[in-house]
Amino acid sequence: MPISPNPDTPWSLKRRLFRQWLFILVLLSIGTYLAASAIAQSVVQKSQDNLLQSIAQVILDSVIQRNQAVEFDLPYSAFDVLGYAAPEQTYYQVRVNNDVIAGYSDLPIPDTENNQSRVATTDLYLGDPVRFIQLSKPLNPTQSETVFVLLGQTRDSYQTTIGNIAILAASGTIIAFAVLAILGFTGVQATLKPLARIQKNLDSRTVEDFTPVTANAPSEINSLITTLNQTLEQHKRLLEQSRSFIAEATHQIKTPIAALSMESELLAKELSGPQRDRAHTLSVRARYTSKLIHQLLTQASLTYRSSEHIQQPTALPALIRSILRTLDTHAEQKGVGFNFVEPEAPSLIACDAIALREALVCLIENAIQFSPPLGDIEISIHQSPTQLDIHICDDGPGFGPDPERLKKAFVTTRDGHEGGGLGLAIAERVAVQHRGWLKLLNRPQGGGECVLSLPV
Amino acid sequence: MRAVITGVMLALLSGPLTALTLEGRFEVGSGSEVVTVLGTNEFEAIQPQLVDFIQVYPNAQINYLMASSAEIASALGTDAIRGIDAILSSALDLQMKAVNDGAARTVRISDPSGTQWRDRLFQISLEPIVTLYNKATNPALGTIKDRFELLDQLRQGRLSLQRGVVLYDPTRSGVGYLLAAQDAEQIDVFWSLLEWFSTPRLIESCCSVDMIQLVSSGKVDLAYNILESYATTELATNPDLHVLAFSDYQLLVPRTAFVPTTADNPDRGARFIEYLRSPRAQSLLPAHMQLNRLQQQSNSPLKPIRMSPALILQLDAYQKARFLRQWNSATSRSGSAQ
Repeated sequence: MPISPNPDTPWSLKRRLFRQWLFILVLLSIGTYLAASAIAQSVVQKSQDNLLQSIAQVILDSVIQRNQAVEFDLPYSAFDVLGYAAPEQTYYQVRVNNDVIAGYSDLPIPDTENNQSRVATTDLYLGDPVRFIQLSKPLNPTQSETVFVLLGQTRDSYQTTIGNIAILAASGTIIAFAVLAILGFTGVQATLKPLARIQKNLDSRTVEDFTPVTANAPSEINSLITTLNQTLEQHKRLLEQSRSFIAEATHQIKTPIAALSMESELLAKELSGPQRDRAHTLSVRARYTSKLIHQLLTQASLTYRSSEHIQQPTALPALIRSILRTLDTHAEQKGVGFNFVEPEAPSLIACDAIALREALVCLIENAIQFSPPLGDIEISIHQSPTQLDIHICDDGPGFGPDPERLKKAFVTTRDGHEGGGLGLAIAERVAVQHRGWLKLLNRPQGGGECVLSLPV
Repeated sequence: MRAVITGVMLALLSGPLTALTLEGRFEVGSGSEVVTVLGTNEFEAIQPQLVDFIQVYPNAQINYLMASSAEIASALGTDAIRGIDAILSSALDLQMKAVNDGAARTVRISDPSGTQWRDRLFQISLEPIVTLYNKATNPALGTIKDRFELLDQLRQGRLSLQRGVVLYDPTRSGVGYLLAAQDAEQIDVFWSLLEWFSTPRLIESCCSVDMIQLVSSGKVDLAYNILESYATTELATNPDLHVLAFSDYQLLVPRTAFVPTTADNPDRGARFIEYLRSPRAQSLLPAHMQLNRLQQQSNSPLKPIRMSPALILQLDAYQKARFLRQWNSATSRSGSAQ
């Protein structure tokens, strides 16, 4: 079962970025909208003020005093201009000090501090916000009378303009940010792609494949790959060290054990009585140890070969025939016969022939060992477009209720049989190295069946 | 289906609308959806459209209340117009001021165009303004092209208006004042023209019918600025009566409508206005009053008075007093009121 690096809080880079960007986008849009509103507000307000002020100025300029009466002109065309600029409600008032002499008498009068000649305010009139400009001038330099011209206009169409400008600015920001976000996401995608490739590469490896990972990755990821490769290299070296130690140790033990075996056999021949039996037991133990050491050596050498990735086209029937020739003597001693069903096709397969040979030797030796005297071992090859199965069947006791257990090193069905307990482990290992598998079956009519499957 | 039409004179009126001084009250249709319309139009002039409206909306009933534009203007903002769903008037300046001062509700009416002011004031027909002369008494007027030529001819003595000229009295006729003020804005020579009209005699009249009668009967040479719709019958029957078609400009007063803020059924009011602006309703009007006249002739001398807040200046008491002073000074050489 794969182990997640942080099982409690799994998080996605893309989702986190998306959430952060969305947050920024919302903030940015609102910000732009408000900023654009404020700017548009001041610009549009200024243009409305200017328009109102120039018309108020025209009225103020026309004010004259004649025969103690104030006279002035309310310019029709100027008001027409006001209507053309924006179809707004318009209010005006002309007054001397507090006496209204023309226009709307109930307009809200703006506060005039410090005798400002120009006042601009926004006030409610008839329930609507109205922009007012008031201009004033002294009626006569010597008198205390002042003429005020107050001109106001509602702001609906200006407000609409401001809203439109703000929405335009905000949508511009949204579009620009969306383009950036898409670019950002594409960037993240491109960065994650080599990681996915590396993961795929690692997933598809066999256990003992320690070749360095190569990927066309950006420099940010390259350091990770370098570290990964260093780790792989360390593991490889550790494994090689321990294996070469086993190989060396086995080799060193092999010769003394062989001598021990020979000596104990000679001793058994020379002795008699109960001492002869004990010497015989000693000789059997010594042969078993010798065999175990042989298998350990085989395994060590196979491990070395597996890292070489040898692939050569091999004719399977020829290989099996050669194995059977080698094992013929051993089988004859036990009175076991071989029945090799040769396929019609040549059954060529790309493999490490030496490794496959060792695997098949282990399986057939195993079959010989467990076959009853005068038993038959049947060997056949079945080929399909995708895989090739080698079946080895015997008339022995089978593999018991849990055949899988037997694939483990040093596990055998029963004591008393010769064999190191590594044969099936070696065969399975070779199968896995070839991306295949080993199946152990109990035949319904009794006996065991090994199926070594290799992909074509 | 025949529409039920009842006309009742003011004296017989009772009900919630007695605060208004009405000139007539009429009911068209008998549906449950009552639309109360207050208008300055003569009932006979608007009747075909009212009857057709009932054809289009059989569930509707129209209460048509007739009042003068001055009466409507003074009633705005008071309880007197409570319950009115649409106000129709040819007094463009009063309508404009009412809308400017917040008397109108914003309503959505399809087909927005230049014939409306915001979503509040809507044109429903055009009232062309014409100048009439009597060919039998003064045939020379038939050769006049525009107002400048008329003034030139008068100045050079090649033309005289011995029988006199009749005009609306701006102090008594709202439309008369509106037209005179527009003329004064439009051409510099208006005051000079008025001075010449006053030589030897100028008659200031309150009412279109009287003015038409004066020129038709040959008692005066010229009736300046007359609502054309009042003259159509006389023009058709009197071969001596002619329209002096000025090529510089011809004023048009749009009749306008709005839904008051105090309307009981603003949706019905808006639907009625929308109907009046529809091609179907327009086709029931005489050709010279139809709104689409303006689209058909783009370079014609037709000059509709713009729906502009500037119109409220003309209603200003100060401005009007100033105007009337100038009017009196121009007409003081001679003239008499009738």
